[in-house]
Amino acid sequence: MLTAPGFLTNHELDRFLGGGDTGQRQRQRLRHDHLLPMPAELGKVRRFNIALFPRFALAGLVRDLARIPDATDVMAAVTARALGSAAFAEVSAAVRESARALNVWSFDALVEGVVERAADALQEWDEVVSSVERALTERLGISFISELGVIERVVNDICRVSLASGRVEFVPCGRVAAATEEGNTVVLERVNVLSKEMGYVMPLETTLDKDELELTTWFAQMSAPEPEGVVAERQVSNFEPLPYERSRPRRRRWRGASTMTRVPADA
Amino acid sequence: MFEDLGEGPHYADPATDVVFGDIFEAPFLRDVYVRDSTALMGGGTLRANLALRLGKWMGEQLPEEDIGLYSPALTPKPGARFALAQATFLPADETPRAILISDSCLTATALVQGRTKRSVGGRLLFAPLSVVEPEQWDMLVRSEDFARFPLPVDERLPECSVAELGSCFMVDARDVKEHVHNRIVSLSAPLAEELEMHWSAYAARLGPRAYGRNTLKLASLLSGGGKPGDDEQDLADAVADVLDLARFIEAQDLEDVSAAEEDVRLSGGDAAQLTPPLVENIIEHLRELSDQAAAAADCLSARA
Repeated sequence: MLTAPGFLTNHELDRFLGGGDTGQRQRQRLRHDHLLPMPAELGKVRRFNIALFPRFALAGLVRDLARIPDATDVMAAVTARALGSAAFAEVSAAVRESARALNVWSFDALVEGVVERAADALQEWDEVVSSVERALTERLGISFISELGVIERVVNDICRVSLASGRVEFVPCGRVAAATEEGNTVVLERVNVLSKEMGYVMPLETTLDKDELELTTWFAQMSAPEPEGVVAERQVSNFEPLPYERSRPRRRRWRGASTMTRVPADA
Repeated sequence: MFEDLGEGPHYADPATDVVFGDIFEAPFLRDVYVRDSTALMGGGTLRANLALRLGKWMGEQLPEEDIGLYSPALTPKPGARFALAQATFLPADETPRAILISDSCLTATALVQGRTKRSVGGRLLFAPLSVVEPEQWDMLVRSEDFARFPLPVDERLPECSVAELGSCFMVDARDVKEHVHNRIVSLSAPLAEELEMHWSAYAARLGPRAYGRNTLKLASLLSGGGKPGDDEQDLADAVADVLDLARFIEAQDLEDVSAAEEDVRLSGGDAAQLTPPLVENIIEHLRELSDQAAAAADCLSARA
């Protein structure tokens, strides 16, 4: 298991939509426009009100989704089916328990708690989500691509993520749902709707410990192909031509002698 | 710089024996060089079945084949001689090409060509080939950068190929012997001579290329600096002509002497019969050298 979580909550969506009240209002507007599907409402857990969305609901944040005929209906239908799966029932129970252990909202900690409590069900749920995403790609042309990466640093609310492919991605912190600590392994989730692409940084859903994770990411980076392909290096020469040339070529009268081509007889 | 090269053909198909100037094409011909990060490495070949497992552990789909696994972190084994080094990267679809710079005599010995009671061994020197833009190739022909030898066009080579003498690397003779069939072309005698002159200039600042440039500098100085005048060029060329003949005596007459001596020592040749014409040649050329040198000295002296 080395992917982005197959679910996210209203808290992450609100963050992606501007955070605070603005984000909440935006989410409600998208719900009203049917761009976001109906979530699984878990209700209040401690002081957190939680609604669960499948990962592919991220497509609804790209407003162009409405331009694809039947897209909102299809999204609603596949979401309802996915949320009705047995795996999701177990996952949502684990989410509730995990959230109960939180003092402050942290998607990383929530996911970690779910992995601890329901790793098998989570894997099954991820497979459901991945299969729906493949179907959405086929039916609506929406693509979902996950890429492993490491947070390098955050400067001026821009998160620099070094990806396993060797590329570097700059993501505004408003689209980062993972802890922004330097060296944190994350997943960049790219959602493409009608050629408009949005990238969201999610925590990694994994059973590996920190060192194993770092090792896995390192190997992924080491074996990734060069994004630009290999370009032949320019030969550096220290040669400085004379500022003048011969006015006419000189031909040697004595030619045809060589010290490098004669092969002496065998001793 | 190719005034003396003539019309060609400048290349030939490789002969049976490997000689100076043969051009090879093979994936392993990398211009390996060291930096201060270079370190000896341990490790070895990991069998295909284990490579698959390693790939799984790494989260990578490794091909099901034996792979080399080496690292400075593993204990280096003296017999293996693996070291971490640097090399120029080429585009993935380009196979490295390299030209043999070791002389034909050394090559014959290392590869046991026409030799007996020896075994293949030692290392041979190669210069990697690069491909440059046409303008740069023209510039190299005009300006004579000793570290870079532009190769005349041939259908068997990419256009605007350059032998990078400044990036030479050594290859184990055993592997050259194994890859004799990887030769794509040999140089004609005039082109091999051009390469030899270039190499001498690069490696030792000697020979026609080197003194050609230095006599041009002499002409410039005689002209008071800057672009040399025609008369000054004639004066400097007279010096270069003397050196041409001196080089001819060294590279032709004395090489002939060497061949005859080997004939006498190793093959029962008759010294009494072989020596007189050689000595005659040397005397004739020495006298001419003397005359030419005196004439050049007189001209220079008159000018001074």
